[in-house]
Amino acid sequence: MHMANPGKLKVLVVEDDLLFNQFYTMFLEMKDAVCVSCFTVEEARHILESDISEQFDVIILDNHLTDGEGLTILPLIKQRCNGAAVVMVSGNDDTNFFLRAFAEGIDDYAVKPINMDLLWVKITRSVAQYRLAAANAQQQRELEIWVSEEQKEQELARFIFHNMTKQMLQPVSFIQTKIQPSALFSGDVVLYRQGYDGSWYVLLADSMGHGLAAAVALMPIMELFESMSSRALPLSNLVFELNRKLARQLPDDRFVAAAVLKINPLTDLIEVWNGGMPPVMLFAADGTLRQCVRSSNMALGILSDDLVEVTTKKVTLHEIDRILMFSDGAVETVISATGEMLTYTDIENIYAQNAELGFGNLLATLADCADAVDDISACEVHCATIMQKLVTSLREPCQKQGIFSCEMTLSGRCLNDINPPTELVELLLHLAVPQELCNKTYAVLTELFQNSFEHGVLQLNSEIKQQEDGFFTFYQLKEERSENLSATDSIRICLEWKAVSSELTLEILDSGQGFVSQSSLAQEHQHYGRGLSMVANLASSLTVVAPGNHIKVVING
Amino acid sequence: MAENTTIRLANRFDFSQHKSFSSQCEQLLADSSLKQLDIDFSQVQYLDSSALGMLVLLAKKASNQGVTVTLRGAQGTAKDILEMANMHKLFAIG
Repeated sequence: MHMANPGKLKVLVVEDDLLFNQFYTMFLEMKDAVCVSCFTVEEARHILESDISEQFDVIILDNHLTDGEGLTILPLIKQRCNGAAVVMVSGNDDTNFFLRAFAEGIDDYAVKPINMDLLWVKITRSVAQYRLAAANAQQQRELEIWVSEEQKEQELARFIFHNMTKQMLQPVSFIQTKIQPSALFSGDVVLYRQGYDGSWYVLLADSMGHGLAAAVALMPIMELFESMSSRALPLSNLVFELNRKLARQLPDDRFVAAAVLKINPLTDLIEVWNGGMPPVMLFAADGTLRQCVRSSNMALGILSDDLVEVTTKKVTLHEIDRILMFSDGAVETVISATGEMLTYTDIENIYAQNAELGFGNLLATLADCADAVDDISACEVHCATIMQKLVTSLREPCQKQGIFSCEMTLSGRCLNDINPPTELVELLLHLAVPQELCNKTYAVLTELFQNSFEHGVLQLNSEIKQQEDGFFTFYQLKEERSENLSATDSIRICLEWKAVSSELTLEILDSGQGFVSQSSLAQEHQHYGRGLSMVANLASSLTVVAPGNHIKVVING
Repeated sequence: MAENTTIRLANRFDFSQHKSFSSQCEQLLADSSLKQLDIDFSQVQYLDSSALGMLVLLAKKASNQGVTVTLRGAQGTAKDILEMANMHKLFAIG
């Protein structure tokens, strides 16, 4: 048997009465349906067991057939043509019979004498229901496949994201973190990194939204944070670059709220920048809140270079025992025990009760929350441990003997391509020069090199930074002038380390004009501002040679 | 069309409002005579970060068309969240 016209309604007519059978068939064919007709249960079985059985859309089934009841083939119909509607026709209008027939799986019925228009309505409606059910089932299958693929993609992304952060974040005893995602992914991240000058950079970021989309928005800043922190660049520069990268790479309605710290034991200084995050809390050793740095900036990725504000809040490090940062999810979550949201005062009280256990107690409180709708993250830095490590490393005697000296000259565009402090301190670390001396050297060299490059070679005045939009103007001028360096623009660095005295001598000479006279040197000290006084604090001696483009420093470690 | 108009926000300003808020803003900003758009926060009890995203986007579009946007009537948690996000750098606060 074969049925043509695959697009047409296909009907199996099972009716023993020749007249009715032909009547149904003619009527249905007039309606453009394709019919297969048979007269007995046996013939119907034969057709249903053949290859064409699953093509039927509808089966018109008479119950009183010569060799048995039509109902007896219902199980076979359900087995072989699962997507077909069954409309039962019968001369019997016994309600109990039709109730039984419905229970066994018919879709509709018609009592003889048949009104053909009504039968047609019943046929088309039953078929439409089957097709709708089939379309639903198909959509359900597609949805399940989509969900499964989505889960696989998310798992892969999570694996990569997890490995990216894991490589960056080697556990350290003095930084505790907690990230509690509200979905498979967290849009919050904690990053930290030690710079070559021994300072620690810590960033807690909360990307807009949550889940994968939020996490993806964090990716642009991860490597940038890593590279800029390791080079111990000023926190303002780091914030400026993070904002710039996100503003360029994220869509207009996406951004990343962030709190960033730089903790520098050498200069005894903590710097804090808060853009769109809850307050950064700085506690004294007895658990009292010493400073609370509220958000005074927009989140990263919103403002253009000329509008972003990168000024940091500065706090003396030795006055602070620990710093707590947390995302808004921590204070927008209902705590089960109280039925209320955690407040900043609650957090302050947790630390006031026991500073040492403050972070653990805070996490225990947050763990007791009802279903969180946002990612929750928190990070505590124990500053006292960072200071303690500095003191310990100062006491470590150097076991090395010998002298290392080198000279490096950079001119023209090479000045843009190499960061001498990083290169030279890498060499010192290879020579097992004590960590503390490396850190100091890096801090001093970075400051001197930056001064020589920006003020000496590029002739930029750092007072520009103090003006409104000054950071951006300074940055723009620096980029422009760096593009036009010539071979006569140069910086020479001489470094010598003597193991026996654990003394390191640095000289830096730039091709800039320096200062007109020796008498203006004092003024230039002021002009260099905190930078040169920081160098003077770290160094055993500092000499500025006239006309001011040549500086000699001795550092003891 | 009016030079000044107001969008009144419901008590929750979050991602569920994204479609209606965005299309409302788009429709209003399409009118070149519009000079001042007020966003009425007086009913808002909560807003999430996607709401902040919608506001940032609105600020950029409005600024391109020379329309001043003022956030009005924020109180309680909504006010705290707008302050934490430093929205006063993008909008006038009424």
